[in-house]
Order: sequence, then C-alpha cells, then structure tokens
Amino acid sequence: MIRMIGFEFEKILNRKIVYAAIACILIMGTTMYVGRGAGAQIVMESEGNYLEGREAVRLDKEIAARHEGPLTEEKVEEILETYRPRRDDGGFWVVNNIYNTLSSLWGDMDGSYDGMDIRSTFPAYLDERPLILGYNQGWLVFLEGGAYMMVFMGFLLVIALSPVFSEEYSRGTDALILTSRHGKRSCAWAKIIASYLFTLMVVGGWLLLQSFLYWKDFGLDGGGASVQLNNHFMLSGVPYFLTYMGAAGYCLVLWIGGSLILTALILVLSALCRSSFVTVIAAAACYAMPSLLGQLGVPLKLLSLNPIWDFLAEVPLMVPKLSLGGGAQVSFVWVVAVFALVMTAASFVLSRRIFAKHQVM
Amino acid sequence: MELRLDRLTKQYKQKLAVDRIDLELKCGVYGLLGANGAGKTTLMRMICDILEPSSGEIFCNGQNIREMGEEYRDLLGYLPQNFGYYQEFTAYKFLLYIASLKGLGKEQAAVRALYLLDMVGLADQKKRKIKTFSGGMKQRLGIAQAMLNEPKILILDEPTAGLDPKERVRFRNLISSFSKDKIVLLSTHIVSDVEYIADEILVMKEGRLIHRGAPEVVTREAKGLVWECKVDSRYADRYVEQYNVGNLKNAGDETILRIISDTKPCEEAVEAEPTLEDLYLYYFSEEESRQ
Repeated sequence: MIRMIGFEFEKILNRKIVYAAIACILIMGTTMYVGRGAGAQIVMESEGNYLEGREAVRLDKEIAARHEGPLTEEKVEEILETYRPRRDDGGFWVVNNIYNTLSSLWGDMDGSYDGMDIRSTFPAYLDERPLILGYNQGWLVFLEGGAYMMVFMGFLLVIALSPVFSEEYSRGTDALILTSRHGKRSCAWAKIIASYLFTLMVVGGWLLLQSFLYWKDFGLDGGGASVQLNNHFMLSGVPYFLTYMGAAGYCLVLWIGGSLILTALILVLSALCRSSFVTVIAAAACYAMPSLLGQLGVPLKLLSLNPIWDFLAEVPLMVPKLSLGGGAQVSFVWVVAVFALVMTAASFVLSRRIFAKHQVM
Repeated sequence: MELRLDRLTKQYKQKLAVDRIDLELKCGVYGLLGANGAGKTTLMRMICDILEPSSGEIFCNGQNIREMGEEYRDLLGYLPQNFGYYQEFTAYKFLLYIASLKGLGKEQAAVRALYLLDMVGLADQKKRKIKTFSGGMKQRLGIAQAMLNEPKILILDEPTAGLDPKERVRFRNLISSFSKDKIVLLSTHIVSDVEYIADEILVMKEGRLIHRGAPEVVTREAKGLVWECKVDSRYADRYVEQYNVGNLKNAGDETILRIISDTKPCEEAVEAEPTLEDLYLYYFSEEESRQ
C-alpha cells in the first residue's frame, strides 16, 4: 500500500502544470509578504517623523503597549486626541496601529472622536466582556494574507487533484488498473490518500512558512486583543468575544478544514468525470461559484460549509456560537471541522466506489 | 482452468455489441477474429470485468467472476487495445507500478519486471521514459505488463498492433511458451498472428460467435470458396470490382488473382486450398471495405 501511495503521489507531482501553479502561489505569497510584512510597515513618531520596517513595528508595539487593555469610551477619546494627525503632518492614514484602529471606528472627518459609544458600534456583539485593545497589525496581516493565499491555494488543489481519477479514464490507463488485483480497492485508496497527503503538505507547508514569517516579523504581541477592533473592517461582525490568537487558531482549523472539503469535492468529481479538463472546470465552478452566494442572502451557516468561505474565514466566525446545553457553547468553526472530516470520509467511500464501478468504454 | 460465458450480451443504446454468446474456454490459445465493430473488444472487456454485461454471466471454474472480485483479477492479465501510459515513468518504473497493483512483493516485482523487459526486448531501454518510446516499444511494454503476475487468464486485445514482423514473431513465440496451463484469448486483424499459435479460432460477426474450432477445421469452412485464375491484366480491375479478391499478382501481361467467391469466377479458375485469411476475407470483406 505504501508503495502504491508513493506511485500515486509521484503521479500527482509529475505534471508540469502543478509546478507552475505552485510557482504562482510562491510568487503571490512573496509579493504579499513584501507588500505587507515588516518591511512595508510605516509609523509616524510624535515629532512627525516616519519610521519604516522593523523600527516601525517596534514603535507601533510600544505605543500599543501603553494603551492595551479593556476598551472604554474614555480610552478611545484619549487615543484619538493624543495621536490625531494635523493636516500639516502630511496625511491621515500613516499614524500608528492603535490610532488607526480606533479612528477607523470612531474618528470623524478631522480624525477626532465622533462620540459614538462602543456597544452601538458593534450591535452584533453579544458578549458581556468588554472588547480588548492591543497591537493587531501583525495578526491582521497574517489573517488577511492567509485568507487570500488560501483562496489561491484552492485553485492549486483543483489543478493538481482533478486528474487523479479522471486522467486515468482519458489516458486509457483505467483498464490496466481496474483489471489488476488491487486496482478497484487498494489503488483507489492509494489515490485518495496521496491526494490528501498532497493537500496537507502544500497547505500545511504554506501555513507553516507563513506563520514563521509573520511571527518573525511581528511576534505574538496583541494576541489577546479583540478581533473586532481593527482598521481593515475584518472580523468586525464576530458576535462573541474572540482574541486574535483565538481567531488565528480558528482560521487554521478553517483553512485546513476547507482544504479537506475541497479535496473531497475534487476527488468525487474526478471519479465521476471522464476527462480531467471537465473535472477542472467542474471543480473550479463548485469551488468558486459559492463566493457569489454571499450577495443572495444565503444563511451564514450554509455559506460556511463551502471551502472558499472557509478560506476567507470571516463568515464562519460570524455565525453565533452554538449552545451545547448547560451553558456550554461552541464556535461554528468546529461544525466546519466535523463537516470536513465527514466529507473526507465520504470522499473515501464515494470516489473509491465510483472508480471501482467505472465502465471502460 | 475454465472460463464459461453464459448468454453474454451487451446492448448499447441502439447497438447490440455482443449478442448472447455462450462459450467455454479451457487452457489453450484462442484467436478471436472479427472485423472492427464485431464486438471483440466489448467481449474482452466483459471477460475482464471492466464492462458490465446487459445480461448473461461469466464463470471462472464455476464461480461468478463478479463475486470473485480480487480473486478473479489475480488470475487475469489484460492488454487493452488502446491504452495509455504514464509518460514520465520509465519502462521499469511503469512495470513496478503495475506490479504493485497486481500485488507482487517489492523484490518479486523487480525480478519479474526485469525478466519481462528482457523477454520483450526492452531490457536496454528500462531507464528510458516512456514518452520517448516508439509505438512498437510501447506495445511490447504493454505485453510485458499483462504478464507480470503470471496470469492464468491472459486477454490480449490487438497485441500485435504497431509491431514490426520481427517483433510479431517474437510475440508469437512468447505467447506459445507462456500458454501452457493457461487460457490465452487474443484478438487480431492479422490472421497470421493466430494461425500458427492458436489452438482454436473464434470468429465473431455483428456481436455473435459464428464459428469456432481448430484453425484447420475453421479453414475447411472456406473449402470450395477460394479460386485462383490467371486473367488478362486489362480485365483485372473488373474482377477486383466484382469479386472479393484476396491476392493479386502481376505476371507479364497477365494477372494472377486469388478470389473468394461462392461461385466459380471464370472458366479458367481452379479451386485453391483455403487459408484462414481467405475465411476471414470471406466473412469480413464487406465490413472491412465499409471501414
């Protein structure tokens, strides 16, 4: 079995288009890192000078450390007043992370406090606990970058895994496999296992690399801050208390879960379709089309079962926690995780069965 | 070893590809003859359990092959008519891959792969990628993969397609040496491929088995249907249009024709000893000319 998995894995990697897709992912990832990593950070000092790169990150963290903790209206007003840029300072947006976070939520036209109270700014936030302010730039870069990259990673999976079964049909090797002793069972398992290994290796590999790069650049500072507080309008709709560290954990679960769901979908389509081109088209459509459903008022829970929404992460995190009785609550992210495992198991059964019953014409 | 086909039928939408075939195959080499579209490939695919019959059953030593599953496939070696390869694999790796599917252990697979590469004349090419192979080399590799597990039932669909005469002779010898205590069923258009090595000839036409028997018995069916005559070369074309001409040879101003016909084509015609090819032409010349 291990030998067969090795062969199947090699078959996945034998296609030049897979390397081209991996190269595209690396180029995009590098571009994103260069454009958003520590090297791209800018912060304004109190004297009006700008700091860039790692110096900017250091200063941003220093400023954030002065103000971190539960957020109150007084704190908002104080921070906005302290760091409010003047016209002659050269602009509004390059100030510092803490100011940018609060001014995007409570700043008026000239950057002063608009007087709105915190609760009314977050009507969906149902938790009793106050929101926590902290340095969030590194986490935002990690979460946003990860989400975008995972969307691209989804297309890599579509390209790499669509031929797993269907190319055997179109190439005419199906007859050789299906007439061999292990062709209808172990070979199908080997194909499926090799596909999941590929998924976990490319997705896991990328996430490890990305986590390392952003951890090296930004550290873990601000991990206890509330995700609702940021100037990227990301995760503002999360209706319960969630820290950036917690959100990163959930995102990793969603990204890996979404990858498993997508892999399952591709494998079943690959077993069904007689050509890998048709599989690529069908899998790409099944993957990308649900992104349009966000505009149609489809319930968040349903959207959250689609890989592309799991990669974007925001929607599953916006679903209110589910009550387990006795006061215990669980994030919908875990439902996605369980769904991913169910889909994985289903793909093992379905794609093997479809392949075994395939009629050689 | 016995393979029994019981009223085996395959109906596609409009076409009846295989029509209620009853057949018993015991150890030996069977040559399956038929024009394109006669149903040979469909029949072979059903025997290999990769195409479900519309009705009928196949039994191997009395057991239904569908119920036997892996046990049946373990006995099977199959060379499909048109099949693909993993172009990036070397010949040796390809055989190792197929050997793993056939359940051969690692060492056994290596030994068997090298032996078969040698047998089909590809030992020197074992490290070359398949994408660099010619059609004949690929076909020889296909023959090797079919024999990896020393199958008790070997199904070969057009195994000599793309082989040059020397390679065809080598293939015939390989099959002859291999066929002891085994069922070998091979289909071909090239009648001479089966004429020398087949114990029995099966003739298929329009999905039905119309003849079976030893080559000399089947050939006898064409007795009285084969004529040879020498005609003026100017009129040779008329004979070609009018009759089923198996051979045509120029001899000065005259042409020697070998004609397959129910009736004597001309006064000078003399009856000739039929061959299997004559029988083939007798049954399939119309189909062949349509294609």
